[in-house]
Amino acid sequence: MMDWFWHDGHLSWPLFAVLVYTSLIVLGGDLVWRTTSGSTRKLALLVALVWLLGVVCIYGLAVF
Amino acid sequence: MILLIQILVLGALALALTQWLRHLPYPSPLVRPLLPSRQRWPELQIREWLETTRFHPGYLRFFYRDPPRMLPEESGIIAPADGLVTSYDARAGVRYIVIALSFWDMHVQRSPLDGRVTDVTPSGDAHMDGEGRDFAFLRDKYCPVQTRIALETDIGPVAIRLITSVAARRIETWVQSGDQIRRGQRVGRILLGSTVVLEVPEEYVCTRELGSHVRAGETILAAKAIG
Repeated sequence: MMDWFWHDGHLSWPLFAVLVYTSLIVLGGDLVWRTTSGSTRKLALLVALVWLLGVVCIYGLAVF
Repeated sequence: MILLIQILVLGALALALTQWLRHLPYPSPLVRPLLPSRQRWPELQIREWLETTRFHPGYLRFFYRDPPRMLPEESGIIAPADGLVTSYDARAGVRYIVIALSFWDMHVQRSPLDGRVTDVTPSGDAHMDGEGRDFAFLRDKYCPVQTRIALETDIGPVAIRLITSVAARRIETWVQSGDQIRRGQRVGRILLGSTVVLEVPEEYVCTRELGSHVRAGETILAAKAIG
C-alpha cells in the first residue's frame, strides 16, 4: 500500500502525477472560466469530470 | 535527486495555487497577462481600488498607456477619444458628439482637426465636486469638473470637452491658448475619467452609429451632411 505514496526514496509517480495534474486542472479551469461566457455550473461539472477521468487514467496506467 | 525535483515542481505549483487563492475572485498575477483587458482588470476590482485609492501598479501602467495612432488617409473629423458614442444631439447650432470612456479605454485625447487653440477653460475644481465636497468619495453624483479646449479650424469653431466622472480625479491638458495643433495631436488626458464631448458645427453629422466604439486619432467621427 505504501507504494502508492512512496517509492524508492521519492514520491510515487502516480501520486506525483495526480498532484501536478490536479493543480494544473484548477489553474486551467480558472483560466477557462475567466475567458468563456458559459454557465459556471456546467464548466465546474466538466472540469470535475475531466479531473476524475484523468485521475482514473493515471492510476489505471500505474496498475496495468 | 528525484525527490528534490518532485519537491521543486510541487513547490512551484503550490505557489501558483496560493497566488490563485489569494486573489480570488480576481485573476492571479500568473494568468493576468493571458487575459483580455476587461477580464484582467475586472470592473468590481477597479471600483474597490477607487474606494481605497490604492491602485494596482500594473493597472495604472495599463491605464497610462499612450500608444501611437495611425491617422486615416481620408480627410475628416477624427474621434478625439477612445470609447463608445452615446449621443450626437445638436443644440443652438452646435452638434455635441458624446464619447463615453470605460476603465479599459486608452485615455489620451487627440485633436480632431488641424487648427489653433483659442481657449482652454477648466471649470470645477480638480478634486472637488463644485460644491466643496471631495468627489472621489462620492458615488452616483454628477460631477461638473471639466476642461473645454476650443479650436479655430477650417470648418469653423470646434471644441473638445474633457469631463470627469465621480470616479475620475483630474484632467491634464497639454495645449495652451494660441498653440497651432495638428490633426491627431495629443491634447490631454482625463485621469480615471470618463466622458469626452466633441463640439462641431451643426451641419456636421456623426458618421458612426450610437453605441459604436471609436478610437482617438483613427476613427472618422463626423462629416458634413449631404443635401
